[in-house]
Amino acid sequence: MPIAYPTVRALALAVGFLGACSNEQVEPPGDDTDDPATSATPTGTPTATEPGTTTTEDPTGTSTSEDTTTDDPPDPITGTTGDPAECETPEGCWSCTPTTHKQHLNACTDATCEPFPNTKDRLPLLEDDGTLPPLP
Amino acid sequence: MSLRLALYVPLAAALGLTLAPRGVLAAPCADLPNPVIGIGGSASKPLLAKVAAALHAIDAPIDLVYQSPGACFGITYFVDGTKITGTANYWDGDGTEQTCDLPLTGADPDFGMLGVKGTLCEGVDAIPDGIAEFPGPITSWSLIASNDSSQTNISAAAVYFVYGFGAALGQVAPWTVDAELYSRNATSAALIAIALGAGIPPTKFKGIDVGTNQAMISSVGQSLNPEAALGFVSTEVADLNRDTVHTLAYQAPDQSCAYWPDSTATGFDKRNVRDGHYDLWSPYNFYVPVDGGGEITNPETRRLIGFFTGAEPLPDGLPLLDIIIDNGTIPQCAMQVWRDEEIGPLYSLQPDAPCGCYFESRAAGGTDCQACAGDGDCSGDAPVCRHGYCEVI
Repeated sequence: MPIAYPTVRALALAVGFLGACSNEQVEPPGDDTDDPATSATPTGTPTATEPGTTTTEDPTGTSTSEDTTTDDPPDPITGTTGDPAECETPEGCWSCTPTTHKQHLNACTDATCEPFPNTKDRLPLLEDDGTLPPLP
Repeated sequence: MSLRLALYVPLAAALGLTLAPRGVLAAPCADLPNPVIGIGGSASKPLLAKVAAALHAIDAPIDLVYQSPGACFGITYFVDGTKITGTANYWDGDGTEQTCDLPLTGADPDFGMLGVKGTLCEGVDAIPDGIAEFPGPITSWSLIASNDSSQTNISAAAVYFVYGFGAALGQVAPWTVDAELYSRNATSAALIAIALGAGIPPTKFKGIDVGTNQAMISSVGQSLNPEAALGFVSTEVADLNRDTVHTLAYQAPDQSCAYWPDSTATGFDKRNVRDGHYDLWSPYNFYVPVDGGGEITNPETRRLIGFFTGAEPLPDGLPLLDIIIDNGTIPQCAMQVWRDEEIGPLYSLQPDAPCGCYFESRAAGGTDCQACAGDGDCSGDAPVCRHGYCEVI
């Protein structure tokens, strides 16, 4: 996708590099449009094939979002369209206004975090494809 | 009486009876001047104790009585229409906990309180007609390790293996010792929330049922094999016991890094709960009998619950916002995200009258927000002065 706002994107990436994002992303409730690919459902079994749960020591670039479109108007705060190419930093955090569950979980922040490696080394019972086996 | 209730009631009675010293008869709860009787989980008891003490200082004081056999009892009594028996607690104006006897024939609870939605409790398919749900302050749930453990984080997938398979079978080092895997039963709100987060049916959750929050702290904090010990409590209980246990940063499904409830491992700002980075949180829910118009039927219960929901103006002598914050819980006005399903999808929230700045100043001891004495001191993106700080609306 063409980058319509290169300056803003560069700024967003710079912010991402610093691991810092504004917490000014607020909007009325009830607007979440998570699709099944990214929603966390109360009864759903987590899958380790999701990018966020297959990271090794470095979460960089592991967070992708499938549910954003490139036809949306620019975000009034960041000036971006919500396109992952614009909003995901190299570190894997979401630098635009979060609108889905996954984006909220991975929004850029200056809070401290420590990635947990969901790998076979740490979780030996993971299936070879990285999914979780059924419970006994 | 349903089979489930047949299992619950003796347990509740047994737990209630243990509240009073053996051989000592407590005064009847009904003799209190203005009792409002609640039942539910132990996680909310510290908050209710503080509120109960303050309720003595308001006009027309309320005697808050609470029995805490387990979160799910906060809804099951309404589902089955039975009465609660045994003993319960109430609190003096100075916060001293007292015990009273419920009638031998049982009492109808005026409200239930639990840290998850009632429909997640076993055997509760729907909230009964005539019972309404009112969300209250927010709590978060902490997976905890001993301060003698080197572990600092955990993921939902790791929880799935450890608590879904059992420590030994799950093979997630260092949590591989079954005798050091501490748990609760399926009536615990903490268990239900953490189980949902990891995708484990609550009834399949493994571990040793230690019974109470405090026993969980003791079991994990005083473990002789601290590296292997793992447990969970509400975060406010974990915060109160940071001298012996610490909260593990938690990495939810779909998340690329593990976060603490606070913005740092040692903070108290609950920023990651409030902005959606820490996934294990729930509002405390009140369940209350209502009339056909949705109004709480008992006028004293209506006052009490109304203080929490904002339906009733706060009386002098009840600094509820401060009580909620000081307890380690989060008022809704300090949240930036919300969810409609337990551990479900997050969406952005703009409270009608935000108090995030005040929350940070009181809970964490400081805030970057601008202090103010009135709206005239505020401008730009934060033009409204609330609780002494400039907020966005």
